Amino acid sequence: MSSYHPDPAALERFMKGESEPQEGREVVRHLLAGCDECRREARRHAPGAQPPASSRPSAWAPEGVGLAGDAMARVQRDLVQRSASLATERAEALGLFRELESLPPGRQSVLVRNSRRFQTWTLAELVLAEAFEARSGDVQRYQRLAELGLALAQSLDEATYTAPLVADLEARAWAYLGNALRILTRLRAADQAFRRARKLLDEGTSDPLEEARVLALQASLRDQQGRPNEAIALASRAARIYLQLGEEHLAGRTLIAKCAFMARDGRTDSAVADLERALELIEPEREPYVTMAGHHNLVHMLHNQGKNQEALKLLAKAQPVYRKFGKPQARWRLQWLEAKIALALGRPREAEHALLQVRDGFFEAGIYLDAAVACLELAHLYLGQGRLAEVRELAAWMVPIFKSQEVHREVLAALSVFRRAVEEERLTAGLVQSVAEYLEQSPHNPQRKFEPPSRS
Amino acid sequence: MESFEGPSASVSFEDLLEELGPRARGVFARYGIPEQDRGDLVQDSLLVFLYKQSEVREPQAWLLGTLRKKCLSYWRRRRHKLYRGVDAAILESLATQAPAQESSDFMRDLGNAVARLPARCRAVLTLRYRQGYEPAETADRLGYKRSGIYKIIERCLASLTSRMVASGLLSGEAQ
Repeated sequence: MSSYHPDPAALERFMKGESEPQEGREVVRHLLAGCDECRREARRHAPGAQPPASSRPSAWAPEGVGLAGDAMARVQRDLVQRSASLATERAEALGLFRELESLPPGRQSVLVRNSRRFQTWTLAELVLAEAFEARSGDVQRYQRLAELGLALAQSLDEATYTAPLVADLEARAWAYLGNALRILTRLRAADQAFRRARKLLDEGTSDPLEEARVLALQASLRDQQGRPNEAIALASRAARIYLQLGEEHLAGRTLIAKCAFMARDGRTDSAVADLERALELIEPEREPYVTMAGHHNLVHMLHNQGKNQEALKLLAKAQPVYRKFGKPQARWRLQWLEAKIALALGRPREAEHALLQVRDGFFEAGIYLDAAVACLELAHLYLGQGRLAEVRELAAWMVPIFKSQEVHREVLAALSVFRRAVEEERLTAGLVQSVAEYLEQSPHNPQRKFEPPSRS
Repeated sequence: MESFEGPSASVSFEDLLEELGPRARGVFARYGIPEQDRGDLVQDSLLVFLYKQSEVREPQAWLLGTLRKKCLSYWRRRRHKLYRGVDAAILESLATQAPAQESSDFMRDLGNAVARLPARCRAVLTLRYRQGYEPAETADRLGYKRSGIYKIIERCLASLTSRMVASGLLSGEAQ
């Protein structure tokens, strides 16, 4: 080993990655040669090696967080100026959004990419918030607004808003777009969108709320991709972050989704216990849809566990929750659940009446997959009562569903098996049940092919 | 003092800092953030808060959570810079003409350090430093995904760096 030793400042610069090339080469050669003394000095500057500055933090002093005197005044000035610009942006955002909404989608994206007055943080945030709002009712709008929000986020000036903040907003837009694509069962595109979102989060501001939001949505994708363990792990991580931040409602919302993943994975008992706790975290007024979904899932799980009386009691208590959501789909889902419970409790007439209303409601709204499942449940009921003419009528009634563009190929194949069995008069309760179960699972696993039950 | 204005309750920046102070110091102490770098992290967090406050219900919890994550990414960035520096210094040493004895000493010391690493890192760094392979070629050669090779190289550089500054592990071999 040579007698040359780099000076301590050179070692410190090297360990901070701030050496000039020549100096870096000398330090590396010297350290590799095995100088214990210089290695010790270098280790003192290794990332994370600093001793705690103080074991017991005392009373507040700006110096303790590195903001004192001039630095504090400078930060205040900057924040006050930005605050004023944001207030101006906020005042204009709604008007700009309405202006954009009145234009055809192609024109919208041209405008946001080329006109500076649209390129504001507040407008991008507003568009994304509107996108998310649309998720439970109008998925096409959700996708369109997520794309518009993405175009806006990508057009923001990094010099004005800083690159990490822009990366955060882009991450949010990709996550919303990914979620919309998931709902539309375009799972590969959704996966790519979430990959972009996660990468952008790494370049972002370290905002934990943003991270939790992306993780919670990605969990739903993993569930739909048939990867329940990953889905549950992501949802748990997101819920933990929300709880650490005091965001109990968002934690509850994420845990409700996690319980649905668990139930689909056959872990109904744990899901029921966790779901009851999750519902306690929810603020019912904040998102009526989430509250309704939580109660609905719980009643459904209790029914699946055979606890129908308990399910019925809970359903009666949850009526106002369904009403608050205010959309007809909520009423049909409630009636559907009532029909399932009525059947389990041996009240077929009640069940039939509810199922007919459910079928008609979904059919008229163009929600064909759910209409088809309701038809199959009716067919099962009729078959059990020997009402074969009514089963044939149902099969004929389903013809428009076959012509619809909304139902994917595998679902149509499964329905064809049902229709052929009716025509050939060899329909069994087992076949009806397995087609219905397949249809119910198909949004969560669109790649799976239908396999008719083997004849026993 | 002016307040932030947003859809949520307005929060005074000064009040927030006042309440946050002792706990923020605790976070910095726990993560060993040097005094001179703390101000930047606080300033960054406040800036993000300004833009996102309409979404934040518990400003203090959010700020502390953000500070914690910023502390973690502070060290991640520092490590990343260090490993990049180590890598650049080695690559430049290999490319620079030096007296024969100096060159052979360096190759021997580097070889000794790499030889003590786990097998995967040995393979990656040997291809990089002895054969001069680019990351994509290294990935192809060793059967890794091209998209994942940068992470693998970084882990191997981390391993090499900690060996390089560890006491007593290489001194015997270097003689």
